[in-house]
Amino acid sequence: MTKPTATQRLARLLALVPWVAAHPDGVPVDQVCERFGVTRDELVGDLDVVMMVGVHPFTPDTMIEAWIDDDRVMIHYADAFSRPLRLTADEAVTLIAAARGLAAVPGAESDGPLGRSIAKLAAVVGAGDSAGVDVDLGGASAEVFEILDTAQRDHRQVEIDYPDAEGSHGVTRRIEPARLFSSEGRWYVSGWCHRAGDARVFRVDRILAARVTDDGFAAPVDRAPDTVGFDDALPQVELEVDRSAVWLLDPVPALAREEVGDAVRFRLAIGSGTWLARTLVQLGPAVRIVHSDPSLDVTELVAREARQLRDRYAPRRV
Amino acid sequence: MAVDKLERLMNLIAALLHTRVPLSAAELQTRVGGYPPEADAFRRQFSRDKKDLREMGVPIRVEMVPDADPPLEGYRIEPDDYYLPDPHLDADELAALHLATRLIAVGPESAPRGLFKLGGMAISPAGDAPPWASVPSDQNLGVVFDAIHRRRSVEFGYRGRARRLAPRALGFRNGHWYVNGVDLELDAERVYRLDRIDGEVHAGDAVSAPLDGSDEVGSLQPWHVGGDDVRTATILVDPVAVPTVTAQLGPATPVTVRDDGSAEVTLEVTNSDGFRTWLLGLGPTVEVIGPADIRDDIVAWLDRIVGADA
Repeated sequence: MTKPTATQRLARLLALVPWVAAHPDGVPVDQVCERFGVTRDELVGDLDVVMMVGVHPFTPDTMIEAWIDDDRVMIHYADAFSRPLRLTADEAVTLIAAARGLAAVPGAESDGPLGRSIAKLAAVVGAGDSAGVDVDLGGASAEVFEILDTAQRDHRQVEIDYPDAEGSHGVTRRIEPARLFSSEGRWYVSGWCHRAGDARVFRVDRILAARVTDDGFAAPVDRAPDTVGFDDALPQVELEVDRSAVWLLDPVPALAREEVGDAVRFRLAIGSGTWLARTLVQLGPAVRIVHSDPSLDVTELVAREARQLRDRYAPRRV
Repeated sequence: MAVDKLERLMNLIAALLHTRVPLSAAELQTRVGGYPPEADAFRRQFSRDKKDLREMGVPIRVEMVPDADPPLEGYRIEPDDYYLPDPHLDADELAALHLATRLIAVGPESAPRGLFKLGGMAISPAGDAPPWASVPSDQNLGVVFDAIHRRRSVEFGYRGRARRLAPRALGFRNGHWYVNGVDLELDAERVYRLDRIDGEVHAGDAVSAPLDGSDEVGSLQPWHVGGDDVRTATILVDPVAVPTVTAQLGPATPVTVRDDGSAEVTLEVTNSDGFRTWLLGLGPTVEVIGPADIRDDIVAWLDRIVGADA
């Protein structure tokens, strides 16, 4: 662990001194260490500095008093440091965004301690009720979310009904939920899938129903979040997309994503030829096909889609 | 070394908070221990200290020293600028906030510094579980947040054009930060994606009129985000696609259903690239009726693709 810099220690002291000084009878050393993430030695070092702080002419009556007595930390006469330094805009927005994010989790209580803490923080930074920050981590059924969350914590297997690759009907799968997470504005659950015999990632908003089973599991098997996929061996394409148009593919789960100069290369598993054709028409000159599985006749797919679209705007200039 | 600097910085803050009149650099040299006596060395160290403190958010004011002749700059900290007003967080509220920072990781820091200022960290209520979500930070997030609450405009470049926005709200959607508000050049509602802003956002003038409207970020439809001038486009939607399209547009969009079940829909388009992309994504069940130049743009786009594949 690297040694904290003087300004990092200063930031800590500007918060620690007012907090301890607010307790005239002192605070147990362990409690201070825990709250401010310091070891006992670091705390003793900090207090040695605090004792040297005061105002001109630095007579004893102008100095802060800091000492440890009977394993309690005491700080007196810290008038200048009676309150912590105001939150910076970055600190305030970070805290409020985290709180708004948790409040937006499916099934979360909007009132209660979390909601009250947001309102109080917003008041302190002079913001309105909503604090001007809105965080959406994705929609999902609160019921499904809670089943998955509980099962993940209790290590219980879950049966989920999940659409097949074409999205036409649901297939029941038994999974061992390892992790619930939000990425790119959608909730996912990762874990071992019995049907696939492998680790998988599923979109929570697509789960049609979830049921906890009586079966447990030992160790969760996780999988990288950017490999959302179906268990069928889908044909793959590799596309190179200009950076200006990358946003169109941002929400699409990619098997691989690599920056190449001013472009980004995506490797995608293709479950629907129509989707691929439509995406390529949308991207137009901003996309190049680097490689495609021979089973996908990409050129013909795109030409057919573009002709169909063009035919709506007859007469056609040739 | 580090202890000397820490001690000096704390004494500097104490001196600046304690004084009612601005103190000149020379006065601070004598009133705060630990500065070198040589003028150049002192000046360098003092200006580094000021910079370090300002970067931490310590609000050092520069004011003229009263009755000084010749005029002399002095420094002080206004206590009201410095002290965090007590939010009076109850223990369960602080714990909820702590839990939020554990489960929703905003930016790269694992323990947000702001939490220390509110009374430190209690024992982690979530244990060592990985966070549920990682919300990226953005270099301009703090500036925009500050401008919203100080009712100031923000200035930035976006898609090669200089913008002046009276910001109303920040929103995190689909993995990205957005800011909405009134574009003061266009005098119209706009939404911009923070990570597509060119470079840094700067705070501008005070916004005179209070901003009406919702704190929600509002429409993030591709034909709205990052807009230029407003165009009204009309599209014709086949019956089979009417439910999909109307669900995407929401109830506020005017829809005229024809006898055959198809629907004419009018949209305010401010981002024509975004509009074209959205339209083509709906496939051949939708076409643009007008205006002619937007229709021609779509046709030309398709002709290029058909031509390239022919």
